[in-house]
Amino acid sequence: MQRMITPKWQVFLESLAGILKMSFVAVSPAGEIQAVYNPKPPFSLLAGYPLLERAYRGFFKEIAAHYKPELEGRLIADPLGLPAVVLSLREEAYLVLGGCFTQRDHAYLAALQSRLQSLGVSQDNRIWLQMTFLSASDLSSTAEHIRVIYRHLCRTLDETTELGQQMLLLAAVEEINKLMVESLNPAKFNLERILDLVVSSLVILSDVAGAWAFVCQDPGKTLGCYRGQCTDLLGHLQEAWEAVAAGCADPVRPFLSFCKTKIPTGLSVEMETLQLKEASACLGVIAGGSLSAGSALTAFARQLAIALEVASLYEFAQQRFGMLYNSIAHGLIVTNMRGEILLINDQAISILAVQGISLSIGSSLRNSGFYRPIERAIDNVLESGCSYIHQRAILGRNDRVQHIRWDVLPFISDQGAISGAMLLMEDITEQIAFFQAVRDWERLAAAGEVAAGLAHEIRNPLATAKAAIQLYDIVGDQSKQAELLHRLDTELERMNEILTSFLETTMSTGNERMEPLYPGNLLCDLEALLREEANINEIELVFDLPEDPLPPVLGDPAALKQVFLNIARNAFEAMAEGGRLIISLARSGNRLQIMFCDNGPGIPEEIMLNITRPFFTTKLGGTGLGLSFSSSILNTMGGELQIESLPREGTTVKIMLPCYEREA
Amino acid sequence: MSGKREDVIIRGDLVDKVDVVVIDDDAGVRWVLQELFSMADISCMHAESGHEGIQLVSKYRPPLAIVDIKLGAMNGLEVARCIYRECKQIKILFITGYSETIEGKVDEDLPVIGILEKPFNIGEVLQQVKSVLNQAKGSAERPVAFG
Repeated sequence: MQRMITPKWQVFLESLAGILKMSFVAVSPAGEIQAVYNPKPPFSLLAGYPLLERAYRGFFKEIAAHYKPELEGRLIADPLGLPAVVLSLREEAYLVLGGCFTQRDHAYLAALQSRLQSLGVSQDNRIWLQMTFLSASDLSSTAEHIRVIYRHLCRTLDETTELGQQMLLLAAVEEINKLMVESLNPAKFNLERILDLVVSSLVILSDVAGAWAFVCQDPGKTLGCYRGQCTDLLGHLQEAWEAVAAGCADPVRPFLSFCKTKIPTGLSVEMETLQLKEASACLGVIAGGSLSAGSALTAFARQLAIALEVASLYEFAQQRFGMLYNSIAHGLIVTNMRGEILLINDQAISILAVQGISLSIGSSLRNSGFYRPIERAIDNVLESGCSYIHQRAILGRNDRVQHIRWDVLPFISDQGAISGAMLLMEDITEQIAFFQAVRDWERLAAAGEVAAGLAHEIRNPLATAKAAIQLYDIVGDQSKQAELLHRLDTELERMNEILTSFLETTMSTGNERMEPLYPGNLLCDLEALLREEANINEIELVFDLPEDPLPPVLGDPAALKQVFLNIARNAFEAMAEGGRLIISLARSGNRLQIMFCDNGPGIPEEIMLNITRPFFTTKLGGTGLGLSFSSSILNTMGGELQIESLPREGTTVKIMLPCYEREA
Repeated sequence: MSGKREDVIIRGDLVDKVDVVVIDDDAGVRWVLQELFSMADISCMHAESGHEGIQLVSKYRPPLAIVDIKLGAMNGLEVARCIYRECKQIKILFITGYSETIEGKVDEDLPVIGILEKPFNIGEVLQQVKSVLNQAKGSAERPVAFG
């Protein structure tokens, strides 16, 4: 098959033809005519004259077959006896330059005419008139000129080739960098791998088709080839590498330290290595032929130094961030869009550990058996970008019980897209236990206070009863004895009443039955009873309940009824001379407000201070438990009792209860 | 009960001499002490509040007042101070439902003869009351000899 002139030489020959304005032929190494440039006779006549063509083809084949370097630039005679110069373009082609010495030498022209005639070209054509006229010295100097241009061009092309290979090397470096950047991507988050690659590995670059390989510092660990066909080399490379690694174990040597190692392969490559700062690791480049191993290695080292800097910076940031996120009290888990863990701090690990679950970076909370609502929350957050704030959970059983407060929030990128989820968990088990203890303590303290009051209240009837029994023996009068017995019965009944009230106060805090209830409905239930009592006391009772439905509150309906009764009865008792009680219900923000507003005598300031204390009473025969009981009931429902009073104008008892909003 | 109270006060108005004023907010206690004293022939007036009690003391100037430490609106210790201001020769016997001491709470110059803890023994009450009344009688019979 005919070998074609490669495009880059075609460009070269065309520009040559432009400069020379003379006809020349490019001949393949096999002697075939490749192209005729500046077609003039005799080269332009070949197609039309078979004899002439055959003669010239023979001539070119002869040149290709017997070309010797000595022929280069020397004048030879072509089949028409015209002068020609042969130039070799290495293995690519031969150039044959042709021309004619003179148009005036008749003897010369006559010889030419007879040769043309013998090769089948008519003498009428006077083709010599179209030929390029050159002196012998002109032809020689033209040939020399072409050879200079050619050599220059070749050198330039060689340099370009070398440059191309360097570009290839840099492309490989870029690729390594990309690999590192990828490793630095939080989604992979594998600092170990980056450092392995950057610090602990020998990178070998080959100029053969850009193949490169790396081997870990631990010689037996990894030996990989990433591109090209360098498998044959690897055995030798490993030996050489082990030797180099053994020689540069000093960890504090300066950044660059070259050493050359010959690798005994048939490819006669040379390896240069350099040591990286503060790491007993080497970079190596195997180079052959025209590749400048040193410059490639320097470029590569520069790239790696940057990568190393970035990596150490990253490690630093990582450590600082690690300190930060491990120092917060919350368990923190960050996931990517697939729900895989990118980050998990010590607190989160220990919360999970209590539940017997071990999760690490890259694993998923999904189906880990941790806690379904949290798993679902993460899925929902990733899907819709919603947030879960201040959620409560009780995890595990028996000795593994954990009270958790948790949040799941989406990570939103600058572009507004969801890029992951963040789970915050707070172990509030101890807090819960603490608050439970505080509540118990408060209840005990209240019980102590109540018990002291109880002692006094019980001792009054007790004193009377005991004295009555003692008097019974002394008095002889039967009617007096009957009176004493009656008195005894009354006092015992009083003791029973006091104990019942006492139990109501103390038991109500321990026996919470909480359910959604509507205070308006409770007031309606009580209306008939209250109206009857109001009538007896000559009191006008006004109910001011809204028609619009109000949200429910959470509480014990029986206890709340008791509270309403207590407060209404207090008002009735306060208004011994008659008056008006307005009971109203309204919403105030996220609370319901129930007001008992009377126009009685009001409460003196010194009494206001003690009014809700157990056994505090100003009433004759009162136990002092009514308001104390009411206040403690309301506290368990998250509400409060406020009493405002103006002397001679009246008293307003205000009950505030938080609305119970069902979770949307 | 209120009818009975008025009855006593009327009866008190009739007598010219009162031995004991009982101040206690508990009707049962007042009643039982009243019964006890009437059997022992001790004339007694009683009040359910400190305010009322002070009025009785200033009117009848009895040798003894029995005061409940815990009264509804007014503290028994306060009541005792007022009584003493009204009537310097009076003696005071506290009664209490709490197991408490009054040391440090009572002014030292108050003539407190003791604290009765509820429930009390009527024999002891009578004994204490009689001893105070006897002392008072003695000092009343023997004119003040110094001047």
